[in-house]
Amino acid sequence: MKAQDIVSFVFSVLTVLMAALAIVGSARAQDAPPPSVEVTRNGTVHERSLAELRPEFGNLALKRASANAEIYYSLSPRLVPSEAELELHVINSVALLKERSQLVVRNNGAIVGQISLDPGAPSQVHVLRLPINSFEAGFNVLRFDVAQHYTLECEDPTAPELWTEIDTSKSRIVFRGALDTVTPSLAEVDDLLTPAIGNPSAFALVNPSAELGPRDLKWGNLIAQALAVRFDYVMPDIVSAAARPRELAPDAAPMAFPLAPVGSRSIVLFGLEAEIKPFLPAIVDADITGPFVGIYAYDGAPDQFAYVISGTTPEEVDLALLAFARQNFPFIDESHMIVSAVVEPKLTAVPRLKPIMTDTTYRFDDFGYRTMTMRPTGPTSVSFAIDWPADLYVKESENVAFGLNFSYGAGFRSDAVLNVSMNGRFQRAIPLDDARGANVRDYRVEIPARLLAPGRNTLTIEPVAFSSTTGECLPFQTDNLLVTIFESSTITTPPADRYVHQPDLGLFRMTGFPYTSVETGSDLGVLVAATDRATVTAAWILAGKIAQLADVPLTQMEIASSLDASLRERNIIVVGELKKIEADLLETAPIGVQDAYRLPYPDTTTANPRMADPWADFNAAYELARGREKRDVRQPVPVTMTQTGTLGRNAMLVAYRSPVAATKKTVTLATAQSAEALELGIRALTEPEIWGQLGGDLALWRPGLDTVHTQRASEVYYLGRIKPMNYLRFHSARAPWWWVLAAVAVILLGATTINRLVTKRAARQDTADS
Amino acid sequence: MTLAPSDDLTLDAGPADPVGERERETAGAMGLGTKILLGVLAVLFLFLAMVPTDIVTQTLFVLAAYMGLLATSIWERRQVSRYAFFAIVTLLSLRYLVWRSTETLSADDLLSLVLTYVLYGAELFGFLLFALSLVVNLSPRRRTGTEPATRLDDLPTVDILIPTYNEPVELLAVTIAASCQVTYPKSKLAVYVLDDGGTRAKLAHPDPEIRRVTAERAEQIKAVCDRMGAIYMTREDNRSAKAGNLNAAYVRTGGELILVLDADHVPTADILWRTVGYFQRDPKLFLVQTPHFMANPDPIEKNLDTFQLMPSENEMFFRQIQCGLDFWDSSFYCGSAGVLRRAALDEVGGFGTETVTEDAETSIDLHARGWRSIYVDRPMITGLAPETFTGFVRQRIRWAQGMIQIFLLKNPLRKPGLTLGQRIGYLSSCLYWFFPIARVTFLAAPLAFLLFGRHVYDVSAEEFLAYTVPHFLGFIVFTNAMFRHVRWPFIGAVYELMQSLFALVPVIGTILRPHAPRFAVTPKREFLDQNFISPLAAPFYAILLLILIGYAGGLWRWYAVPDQRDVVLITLLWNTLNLIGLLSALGALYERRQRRSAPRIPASLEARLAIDGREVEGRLLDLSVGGACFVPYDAAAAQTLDFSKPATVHTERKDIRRSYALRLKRVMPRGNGEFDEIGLSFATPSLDALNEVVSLVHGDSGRLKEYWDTRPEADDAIDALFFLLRMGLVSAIDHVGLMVRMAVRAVLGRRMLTSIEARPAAASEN
Repeated sequence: MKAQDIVSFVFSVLTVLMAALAIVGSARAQDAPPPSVEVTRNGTVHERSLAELRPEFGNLALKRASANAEIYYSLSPRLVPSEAELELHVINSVALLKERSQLVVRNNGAIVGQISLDPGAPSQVHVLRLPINSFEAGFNVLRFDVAQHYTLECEDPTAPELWTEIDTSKSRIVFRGALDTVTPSLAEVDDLLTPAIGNPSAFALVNPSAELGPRDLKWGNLIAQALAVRFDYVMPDIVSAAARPRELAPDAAPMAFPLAPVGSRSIVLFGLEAEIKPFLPAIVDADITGPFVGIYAYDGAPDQFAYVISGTTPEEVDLALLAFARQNFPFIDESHMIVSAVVEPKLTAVPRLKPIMTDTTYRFDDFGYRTMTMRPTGPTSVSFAIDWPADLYVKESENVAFGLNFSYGAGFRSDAVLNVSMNGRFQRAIPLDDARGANVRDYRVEIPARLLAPGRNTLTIEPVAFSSTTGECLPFQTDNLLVTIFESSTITTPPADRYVHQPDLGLFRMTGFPYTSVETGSDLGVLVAATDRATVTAAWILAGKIAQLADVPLTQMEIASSLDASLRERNIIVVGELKKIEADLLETAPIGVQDAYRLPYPDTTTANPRMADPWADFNAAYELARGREKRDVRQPVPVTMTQTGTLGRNAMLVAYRSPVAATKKTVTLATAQSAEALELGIRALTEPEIWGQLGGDLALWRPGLDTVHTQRASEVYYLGRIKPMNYLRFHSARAPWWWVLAAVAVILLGATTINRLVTKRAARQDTADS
Repeated sequence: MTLAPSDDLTLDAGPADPVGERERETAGAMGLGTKILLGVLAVLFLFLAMVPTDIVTQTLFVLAAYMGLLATSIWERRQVSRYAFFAIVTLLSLRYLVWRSTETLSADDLLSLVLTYVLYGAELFGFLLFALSLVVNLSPRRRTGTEPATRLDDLPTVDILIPTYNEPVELLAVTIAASCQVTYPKSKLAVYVLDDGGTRAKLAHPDPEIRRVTAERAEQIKAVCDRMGAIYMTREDNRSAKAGNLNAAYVRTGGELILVLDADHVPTADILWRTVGYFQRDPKLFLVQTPHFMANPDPIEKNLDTFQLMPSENEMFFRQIQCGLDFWDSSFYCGSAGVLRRAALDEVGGFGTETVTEDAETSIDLHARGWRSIYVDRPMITGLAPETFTGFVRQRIRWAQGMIQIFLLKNPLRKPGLTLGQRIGYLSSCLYWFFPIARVTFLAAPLAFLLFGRHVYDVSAEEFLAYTVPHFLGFIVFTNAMFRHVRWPFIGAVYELMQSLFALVPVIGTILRPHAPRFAVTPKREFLDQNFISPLAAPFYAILLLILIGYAGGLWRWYAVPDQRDVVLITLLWNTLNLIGLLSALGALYERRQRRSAPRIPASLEARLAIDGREVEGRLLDLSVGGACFVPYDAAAAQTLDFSKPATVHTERKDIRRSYALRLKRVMPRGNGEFDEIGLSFATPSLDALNEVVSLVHGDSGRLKEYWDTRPEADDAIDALFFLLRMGLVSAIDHVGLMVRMAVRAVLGRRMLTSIEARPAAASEN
């Protein structure tokens, strides 16, 4: 019996561990660094490494006798390349047969190079010229096909020695050419404000006065969000700047701005018409008769624009900003527009890819998927993203059910399968074992709902099929190996509660929670400790990052420089120098700032778990089995140290329960020793390498270094609403030993009471008998 | 020589003691504080049971629970530890039940949903029985009897009523002889033989053969009664069967107390001496019930060859449950071996006749009127179990119908006047007999999936391991801890399985028509002169076939529906448990011959075997009215005896310091020429000789108690399972072997039926 219990336990542990690994894996995929958009501008040269263009880490591996891979990249429609080349760093297996092994490179379908895979020179660098007429505005695709063989005779097409890799960090695509200088229009904003190669991505948010007033904070905040959302997964380079006039030459063009440039950045000039008038060309100023949004070439430079967002009253500026944030369709093909009204959807803003709802059935096409046929020559798999809410609590027995509608061709070998993966983790294989082919409707595949990570999850369906005719040197064809996944396939989500423990920078990293939980941002406030440019820039960048996570500008987000009543009952992001943070706001924080800093250090005495906690080993296994991240395995009580010294170049993010809200709210403090360090720190934070490491409730990093130090130092609390039974389930799972101890206590007390009563009754009976 | 006490027997004087009355009245009283504490504990306990967790936390709890069970097992002699043990098992099962109720009751289609709920209902029923059993057996009372504490004049008069219907006269004669020898003043004791086989209606039966047989048997019984000092009674007809027979005598007799004995229930001499005293101490006592000691194996233990290797099936009821019921003042009359107060019976007009179990019916009526009962945990009668499976099933169907009738017609939950403990006790006793429905459900449930793909128990392997297995193991651990001295694990399931197929229809019939069942007499002393397959085996073949087809279905599903493999595995495991039970059942349906006419009672008496002036010392290992087994200490010396000469065995009952010198009819050495066992056959040519033998064989209840107390316990549930499996397989192989032989004979053109015909033989003296 005992052995069976152990088997039961081990079985459960292993299974849940697998689930945990899947979750961790999915989290990693989630955190894949977005391609860098940092364009090295050298005259007219624009280049990107292939690693920046792929969401996946590492080299691009091509295995087996035949394989292919694609890399998508976006080109600015204004880029007119005169020359383009692809520098490929290829490493291939030394077992390949040179005569029959080659790598074919295509750009938008056109073959741009054939590379012989030479075992004698396994590491090669090739520079392929890309025909300039093979590019398209918007998305382009590089495709790599390999044919790999190790013998002239019959061979095992899956032999492990059949491989080639492309070093994506060294390989790069380079464009040389000019940017089109045509006068921009509002219809082009969608194309200009993207991370496409050739697009400007550095912006100065310019207000007319030297100081930043409350309105400036608010307007700049919304502009930063709008820009960030348009740049999708790449954070644009944003700074706050004050407008400075410049003298224009008498013969200056009528559209020349009497506004000093901010480096080579594009400028977003915002404010009341009366205030920004000195910095505008007269023609433009004359057009500002109401809520105004305009785009102009700044000084005629092809990669520098001036956006003007203004109005004659603050309300008009508000409206113009809202329009700027919301405009995402090229209706207006003019340089400016006057906005009369913006009617937002009721209650909530609707993000482009909204989080999936619980207890609902969706079709695949609800996620943008369209019916697709897979074939050996590609596409070889289909995948699409499902946004999973951040704060879901689902029972472990609940599954996400897929009802797959698919068809496959005849003549498949009997071991053909359709692999279903979630976030790169294999989940199920569906046998395609009808030799005559089949059209299957509503094939049920269930995946434990807890395997889905908060935020974006990617479902991938990939057939693995061979022709039924195989054998040594026999000709066979693969054109019959077709699998179609229909968009009418469904996903059914389980019922779930919205309940989550806080603070958790890991959840913040993946989804922006809790700041994105209300889609309009009406529950989010940003408090800047000072209104200097660096601090405000940091705050705007952070707000932009949150908007990116929400996939929509949070138009009702509040931003202020003092803790007024409107902020107190919101989840707050506090941005500022450490010493300028209000003491009230640090009341519940694990850090303190008075004469000296009070800082938490992870308790090193618990590093030996046996000494500190006899259950530590078991708890560790338990936590892992529950699927938590390793950081949660031990939760050492921090050593609090009060000390002098400064944070220096370090920046810090600390999350904790809001001390100023009457209800449970979260404060996330972004701080550093100085405003400049803070700005640098926040810029670094938005880099994928740093952002992807956020976790715990306190994170410390230094710009220029990739390491993020995290720890848990804040008091835990819970947000959301949960059914009573699920509440018990949730908390019993988090504190199982307390639960077991409670059971022991009740059992012992009950046994003692029963014993007392029984003894009493038996004694009475004995007395009566005698 | 007579052992009956004479009128001048003087007992220690002592006042009648009704003072226990007040004590008893307050026995169940509980202070408000205690009630509140119990209430709070109950709420907390339920809360712990209902807290939903994920699998890992549940697994942690299970591990902790089993550590707790281990710890409480170590200190099992401490009562607190025992209750903690019960609480842990209950918590495990409750958690299973809550999980089962909240997480698993769904199905893809209506039929599966219905089947799911049927299975769920069966599980709920099982849990209810478990909970009731837990309460009933919380603190079993072990009373061993009390002497009457009064002067002779104050001793109540006692009537011993022996109802008979068709039992062999020689069997009845032993019971009458033993009844007449019961230790009690003769002037206060009367023995009545109530012959329902010789009613006036039967004597006037139109069939002359029936008339002749009836009259002949009646005359024989009358003769025995006359010789032994018993009073013969009969009545007009058989109306209301046994209860009617008893009531007919009840109005014609006048003893203050009534001891009822079945015709095959031979009393020991001290049966009244140990029971009457209770009536004197408690004027509100209506019953002192004593256990039924079965001297012969029931057909299942006989056919599985487990007799004396493990406790008999009825021991759980008589050695444990009745003791548990006694704690709650709800032990009930079992039809025989119980002493009843006439004054109490007067209140309800005698024995109940509304149901076919007049005993329990009478008890519940009297309990409801405030009368009390006591159970004495000392066997003081020796009875006979049915010899054939057919007889066994008939007996059990009657019990099932009777208890279900009581549940429906005198529902213990609604009947006014019962205490809470009594309600629980009767509810437990009545509800148990619905088990055929649950058993058949458990048997069919895995087949519903394996054969028809109906998901009636749709859980994952993880959940199965975290909830179902601990619950199942917890139940086995509980059963083993609670009942291991009276019933080995799993054997109860075999008994229930074997009865279920035949009791199902009568049980459902009784539920639908509670007044319909009629009393069926249990046949006794059917002696079998050769092995044969029970005619009731056919349904088991059908189920065996279905189970085997179920395996094929499971195999097919394993490969055809890979994503259901965990369900397939679980269901196949379940099917295998059913198969084990069924194989044991098949083994038990292989009826083995039984030739001994008088059942032997285990003994261990010093004795001397005297033949022709020479004596050999040894020990009597078992005794019956027909004979005994003598084991000489010196086998070589025994070899020198001339067994053709007249022989006598000398022995002594130490409990009453009485010596016996019994003449022997035959002496039969056994063994491999070593004379390590010698069979003795008593000569009982006269009434005195029979009385002498009966006195020796049936006089001492201590021997029966000692035998019970030394029954082998089940140490390990797994060992018990394998033991049962081994015994079942051996018998099942015999079963199949006989079938093959029958088939061969059929092929060879012989008459198959003659080879399997059961031949009940008339009892004959050894």
